[in-house]
Amino acid sequence: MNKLQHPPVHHAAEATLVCHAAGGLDAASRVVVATHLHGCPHCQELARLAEAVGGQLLDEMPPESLSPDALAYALARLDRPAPAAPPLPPAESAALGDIALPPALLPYARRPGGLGRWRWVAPGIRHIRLLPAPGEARDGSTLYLLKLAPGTKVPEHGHGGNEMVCVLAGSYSDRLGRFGPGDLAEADANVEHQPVADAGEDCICLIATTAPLRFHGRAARLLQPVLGF
Amino acid sequence: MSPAPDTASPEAMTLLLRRIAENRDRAAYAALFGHFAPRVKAYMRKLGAADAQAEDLAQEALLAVWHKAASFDPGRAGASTWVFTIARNLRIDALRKLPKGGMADADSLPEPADDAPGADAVLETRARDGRLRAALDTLPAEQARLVKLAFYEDRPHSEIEHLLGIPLGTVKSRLRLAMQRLRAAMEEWS
Repeated sequence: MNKLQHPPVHHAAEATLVCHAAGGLDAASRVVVATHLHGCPHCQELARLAEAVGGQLLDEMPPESLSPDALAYALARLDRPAPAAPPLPPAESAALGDIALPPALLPYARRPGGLGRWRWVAPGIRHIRLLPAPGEARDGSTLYLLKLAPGTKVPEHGHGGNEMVCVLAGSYSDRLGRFGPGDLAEADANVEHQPVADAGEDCICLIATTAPLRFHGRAARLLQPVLGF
Repeated sequence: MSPAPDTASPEAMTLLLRRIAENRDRAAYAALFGHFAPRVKAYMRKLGAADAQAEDLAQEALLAVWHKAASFDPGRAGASTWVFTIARNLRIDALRKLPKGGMADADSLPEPADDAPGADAVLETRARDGRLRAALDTLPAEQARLVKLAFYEDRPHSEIEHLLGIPLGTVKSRLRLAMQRLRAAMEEWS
């Protein structure tokens, strides 16, 4: 996020930060929230507080009894050296051009083939799907990068579930405001919007959805299977 | 009657972690294990893990505590918060059937820019944890209940809506109010 000049102005909801701290977010939303947190001191402070709440609640847990040899087993394991971490494959994120790779995307850039290549979806719209991924347990969430050419309109849509967007570069506007690098937009089932990429440069977003989007209009509905939302 | 020294205080836990980090102190580790392993197991059980899996995850979490003790920074978080984040991340990776340290570490809260812990970090931690404890105790019951649900019910807040029979907007606004109260209480103190 080297284009991030100002701290974000659109933040995560407190409820979202609490769920991130609790480990309750779906896999895709977790990555989007972490990407916003990376550039947002305001939300970092709240997220840290939420983690401290998690620590307090852990301390308050009524302890569960362990098997009789649990401590002996634990102590015996200390003698074994920590398993050596396998060498990490290099990160490949050419698709992002000169945008710094958000740390939460690092594991995706280290997959074979890296982040991959932009795929055409519709005029002015390209995407890269990151989740669901082969070999991983699925939780119903999808994670993808979306690139909108300047001035591109995304067809108006509502949401069967939640959608979270973190802008990586460029900006877009909809009736909720203008969203630039680092900003987080959260839309739940009640929100309908039609984002339009602002003029000047491509708008690149990281998007998580937890249920299929509902597009309106016949042409837009045709996009649905292609986008695979 | 004078109270017995609190061997499980946040301050005591922080000192145990230091002894582990600096001296690889097994007695300190055994004490820390005695406090946290049964609680981490309870946390995993509460979130739906079967008994054996919960115990395995508790063992893994406490082993990670041993190996990572040197990276514990008492100026940043209390011992229980640090152990909590380790346990949470292990659980996330286990649910996704990923290798340990696979994904959840990458999409956690970033490390803050290097702020060296002060010499009195341990005392600060104790005061901070005490303050948070007190603030949690004064949350209105309906807010406290939602905060606990967020941590101990493995479901997004949109499902808590169905669970409690209150609208999603109310879930979100109560969590917002709860966090604002907690933050205000912490700011008042610092």
